[in-house]
Amino acid sequence: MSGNSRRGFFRELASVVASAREAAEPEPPPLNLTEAEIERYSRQLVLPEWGAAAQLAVTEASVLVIGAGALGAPVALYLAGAGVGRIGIIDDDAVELSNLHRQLLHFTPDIGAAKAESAVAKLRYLNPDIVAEPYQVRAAAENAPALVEGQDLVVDCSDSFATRYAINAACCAARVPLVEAGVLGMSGLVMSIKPGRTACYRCAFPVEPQDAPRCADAGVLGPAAGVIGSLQVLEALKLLTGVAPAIADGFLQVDLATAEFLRVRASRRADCLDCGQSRKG
Amino acid sequence: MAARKLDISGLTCPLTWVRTKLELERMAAGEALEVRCAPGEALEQVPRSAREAGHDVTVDGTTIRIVPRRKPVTSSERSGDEARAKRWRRPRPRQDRGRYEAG
Repeated sequence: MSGNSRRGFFRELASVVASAREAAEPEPPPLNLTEAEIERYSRQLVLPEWGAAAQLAVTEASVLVIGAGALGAPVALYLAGAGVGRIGIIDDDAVELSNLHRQLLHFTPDIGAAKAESAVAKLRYLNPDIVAEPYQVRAAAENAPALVEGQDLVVDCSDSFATRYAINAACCAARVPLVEAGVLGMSGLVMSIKPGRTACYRCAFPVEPQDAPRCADAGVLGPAAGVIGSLQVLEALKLLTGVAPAIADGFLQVDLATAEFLRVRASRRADCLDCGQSRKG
Repeated sequence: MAARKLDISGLTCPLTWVRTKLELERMAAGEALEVRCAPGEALEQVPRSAREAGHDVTVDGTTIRIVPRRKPVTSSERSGDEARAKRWRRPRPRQDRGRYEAG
């Protein structure tokens, strides 16, 4: 190659690179928000991190909330408030008197009603522009894959370790992002999972605890569940929009008695039964 | 390049800035936005918010001219909380791992 043609080649290469860069510039999103939507979401649209792109991302998202209890209440309410387009609520329980101190979606007249139905009715009051669907089933290993299939995000607000591991496995297999959380007494934890990319719930906690105290035995303070649920739904909005980095490859341990927040790192395990490389598929 | 035009004179705060911000998000680099504004609160707030977001702003009477900057300034940067935000993101020591397995 002569000196001249080499210069020509590099000039051409530079122009190809420049035009590729130009093509990669993000197109401004079309403003297909109605006046009512702009007003409804104005206090989040005004945030520097949020904008039309983030709003459209949540509007087009389908999110499954597993459990309409203490965590599920703030999660579902804030998802609906933020404008998440489609929210599925899974719960097979009925509202009980002992739920009401912490489960903000249910009220005294709801006692005896199906939690999924009670929750969805409140979400429709809150935001009639979204689709909220009740599913009166218990999430378990058998139905988890079918439940998470096609979702953009799953938020696990269940109250048992068995369900948590089942949902984690199903989300890892279907590559559906997941936010895990748990609360007990005055402490809890929150963890975001991007399957195949960040540590999953089983990577962080490989062994299912056998003698873990349950909420009914150990108790829980309403506002503690509210704080953990709020952190959980904040993670959900972060994952849906990318407006801030999620708590991934680790979890946030929250002790509300001492007001201490602790970030704990966790790494992906090659031998993880749910997301490890040795796992089939 | 001719400036884009936006009339927010019929709106109240904070919709004045929300509308302006949404318009700025849709604009190409180097494009300018001319915002027609009613005298009063919005004429103070909109230029201030635009400057805080890092845009170049000039005000002529009730017309605000904004040339957008590419990267939006985040809430933590705006509140001078950047150092704390960075500290928060710093990973914890690995010996913490696995100590908290409560659900």
